[in-house]
Amino acid sequence: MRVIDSDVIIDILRGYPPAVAWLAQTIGKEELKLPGFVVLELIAGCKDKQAVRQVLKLARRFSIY
Amino acid sequence: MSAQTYTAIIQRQNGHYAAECPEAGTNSVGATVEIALANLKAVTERDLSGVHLLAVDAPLVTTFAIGGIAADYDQITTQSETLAVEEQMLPIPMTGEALLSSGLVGIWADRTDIGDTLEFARELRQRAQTREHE
Repeated sequence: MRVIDSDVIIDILRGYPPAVAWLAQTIGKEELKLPGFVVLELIAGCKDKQAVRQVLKLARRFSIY
Repeated sequence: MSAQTYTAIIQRQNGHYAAECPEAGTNSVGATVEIALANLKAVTERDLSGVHLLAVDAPLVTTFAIGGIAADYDQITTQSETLAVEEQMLPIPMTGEALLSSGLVGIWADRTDIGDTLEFARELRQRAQTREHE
């Protein structure tokens, strides 16, 4: 299990190739967890309601702690 | 409290397993049958904490087909209604592979306002920490 911080999830949301490769090759079937404050930071970084909806969709898929 | 046995109805849905306990009205999901069952046990224990359900007969769980032959309404039980799965109560564990196939990777690819990711993340954290109540 790994906890991911804001910069990592932002890189993943941006589709940054090294982050995507890290997900596929290093993480694979390992579980990821998202801290609640990271979700709040991501929401703070949203430009519009559509982006907020996307972040909430992401958050629903994770175990938030 | 003495141990009580409850029914678990588990169905495969959209690549995961949805579990429901008809006696307690609880439900859960899991990537495997075992995980769905463990989640259902946890949710039911949580919801029934301090609550003692009246003893009920074990329900008859069966299946039926719709279409082709007219249904004999006298034979229909309400059991089928318990198969409906509501909103999931426990999330499915998110893995690297699941995130890759979630359709969420790259949704911010067009964010030209984000330069250096680390700097942007730092700015968001600082903004969250210094935010004043409105």
